[in-house]
Amino acid sequence: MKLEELVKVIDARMLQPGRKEMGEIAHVFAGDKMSTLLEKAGPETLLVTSLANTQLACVAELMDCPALCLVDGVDPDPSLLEAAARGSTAVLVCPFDMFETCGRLHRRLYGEGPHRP
Amino acid sequence: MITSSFPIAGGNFTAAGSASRMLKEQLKRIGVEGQIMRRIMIAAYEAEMNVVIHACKGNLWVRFDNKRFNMEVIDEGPGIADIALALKPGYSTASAEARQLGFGAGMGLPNIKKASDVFEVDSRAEKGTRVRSTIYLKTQTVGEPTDHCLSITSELCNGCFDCLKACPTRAVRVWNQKPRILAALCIGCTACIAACRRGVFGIREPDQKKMPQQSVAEAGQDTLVIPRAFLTQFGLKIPPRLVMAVLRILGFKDIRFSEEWEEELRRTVRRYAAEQDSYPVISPICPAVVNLIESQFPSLIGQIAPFMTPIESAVEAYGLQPVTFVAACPSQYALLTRADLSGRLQITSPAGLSAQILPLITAQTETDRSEQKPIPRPPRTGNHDPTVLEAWGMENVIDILEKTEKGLSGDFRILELSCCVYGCYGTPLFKENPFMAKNRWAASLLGRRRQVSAAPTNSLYLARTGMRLDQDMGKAIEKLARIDELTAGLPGRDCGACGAPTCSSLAEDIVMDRNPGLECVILRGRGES
Amino acid sequence: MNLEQVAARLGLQTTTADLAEQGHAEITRAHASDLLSDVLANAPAGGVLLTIQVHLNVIAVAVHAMQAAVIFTSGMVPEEAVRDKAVEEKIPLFTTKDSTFDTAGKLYALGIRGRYE
Repeated sequence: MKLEELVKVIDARMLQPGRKEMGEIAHVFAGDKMSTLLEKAGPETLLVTSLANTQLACVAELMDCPALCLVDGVDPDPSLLEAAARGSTAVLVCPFDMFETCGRLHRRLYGEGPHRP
Repeated sequence: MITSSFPIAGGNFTAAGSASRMLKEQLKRIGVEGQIMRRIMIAAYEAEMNVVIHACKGNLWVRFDNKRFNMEVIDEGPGIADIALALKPGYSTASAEARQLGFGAGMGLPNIKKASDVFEVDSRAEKGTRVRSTIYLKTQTVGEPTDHCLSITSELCNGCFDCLKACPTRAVRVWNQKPRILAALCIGCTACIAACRRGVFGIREPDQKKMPQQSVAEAGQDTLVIPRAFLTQFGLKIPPRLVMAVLRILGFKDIRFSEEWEEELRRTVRRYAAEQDSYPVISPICPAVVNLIESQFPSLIGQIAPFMTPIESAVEAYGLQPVTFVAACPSQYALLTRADLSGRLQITSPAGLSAQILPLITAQTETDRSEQKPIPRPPRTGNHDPTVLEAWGMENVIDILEKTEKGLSGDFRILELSCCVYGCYGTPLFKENPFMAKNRWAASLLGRRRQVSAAPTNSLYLARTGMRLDQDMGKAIEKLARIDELTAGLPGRDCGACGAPTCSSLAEDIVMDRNPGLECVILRGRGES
Repeated sequence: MNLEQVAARLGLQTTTADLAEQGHAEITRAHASDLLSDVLANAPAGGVLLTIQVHLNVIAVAVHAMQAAVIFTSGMVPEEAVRDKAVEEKIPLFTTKDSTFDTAGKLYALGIRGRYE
């Protein structure tokens, strides 16, 4: 699914656009432990996190992850946006908390009903 | 082979990750991608963040070629108090600041280990920590040397071709009057060095490194590890005691002998063999013999006692401390070079160290005329246990291994096989006769038992695939057929005139396309092709 | 829907079987976070907590934040000491192989929501 579609369901603002030829988002991973984000980040992954520090951009760049979503309407360090720009990583900020964000994204990606993954 | 180093600043969470990022750029240039890139990035980033979170500063050293990626992250910091605990998933000593930033999950070391094919971590309290990781970039490259460790001075070659015949693995060639060594076949023994009377072969001298006396900062910190034979190389008038004194003048804090680890390994293997029920157990006392087994006798690999060779145990013992090793042969040199990415370990050859001390020795002998003649004492004879077979010389070693493969040496519990006479005494890099050297050492009464341990090996002894004709079994079989066909058409004299040791080696070289324009000299003379 | 029903619908494994009576609690809210400070500050009381942190501190924090239960996601399993403390504090613990994202998605589909802004 294209990132733009996911952005809509979580009322997110795009603080950093990311790659021009960004592919589709196939997976979402949500968490706050850098080691786990590192492991799960990939070329078709959207990372959702309560963290807002520069290292997120570094992890995304190293693992070729196209997009980060920060929750709780947080204001990230300017250094995060700089690092994301350098690594061509998209940065979104969404006003909802992590649970709500995940709930909405999950519903948009997989729909409701019995055939959920 | 690319070698790089990237600094890491402790405590700086904004700049952190820069070393891993720069590494990624380099790796992309040689085409690393996909799963392998992910593993390297995980290992590098976690190791880098460990330094940022826990240490004052550090460095990320890497060495890689298209087959293997080696990484060492060394830091200066408090070190790890309990490594076993640190390796436990979930255990972390990270600060509150680090945890708030999402670190300190306690998964760093376990994740590096998971991402690596070979992983080691060691640490000294109050000094620092070293994490090492190896990731194979292509499968089936385990044990592949990408380079041999010999130096070849072609100008000295007079075309006698003695080296061709001497090499036990037929790794030597002489093409266009230049001797060459096929790295995939070379086991790092000393056969070619010994065979060549003109001194064409030797071990590489490492890049210029400072000896302690030239560097005030390092003076008194370095340990020197030498083979005992080194002390016996200077003739009757310069006894081992004197050589030791001169080595101390150079500023070494401590002088150790590689045989200390060799003897401990022998003892350890004897204890290990007592618990085994299949024999013989092969003691890894000589790295060239281990390489030989990995190359030519892979069915015996399982019988090698799972410990490091003595020089590797000695390297382990010194961990992060400054230490200088004298390499007695190419296989030791290769092990020492692989062990040291950061340049903390200095390697020198016997000739290199001799050159350093000769001026001091002559000065010393002039002032020391009252040196007493040592009383000759018979050396401690070897073991009296008839079930331990001690042997040396590549021809003997190969013969014994062939017989072992056929099951004809089961009356021996342990095989202690070295390439050179009396272990390192017999290396051709030492000029003195090995028997005289060994007796001279024994008579010097310098030996003093020190506590050492034989480290268990942490990576497997594995069959070398350099011997394989092709990664693809189908193609390998085709090549074998072509080699046999070609060999049948050759004179079969193994004369060496073409520059290969045997007719079948020439056939193999042609099929494997190792050099353009190879052909049989005899056939060409007859007008055939 | 009460806790017991939620657990059944999601196929969660319970690690605190002794706390069956806690299963009657009505669940309408949830919070997803791996940062304990964030849980203390923001988790809605009476909700379930989703996390991969199996550290002993999670229990103390869950008690303070008045969580109805803790769901450990991504296959993380708490040690015995953690389970014992949870029983002592009467906080049911569940485990699931699903990620935080998927678990949140499933709970969201049951009508459970995040913190009310």
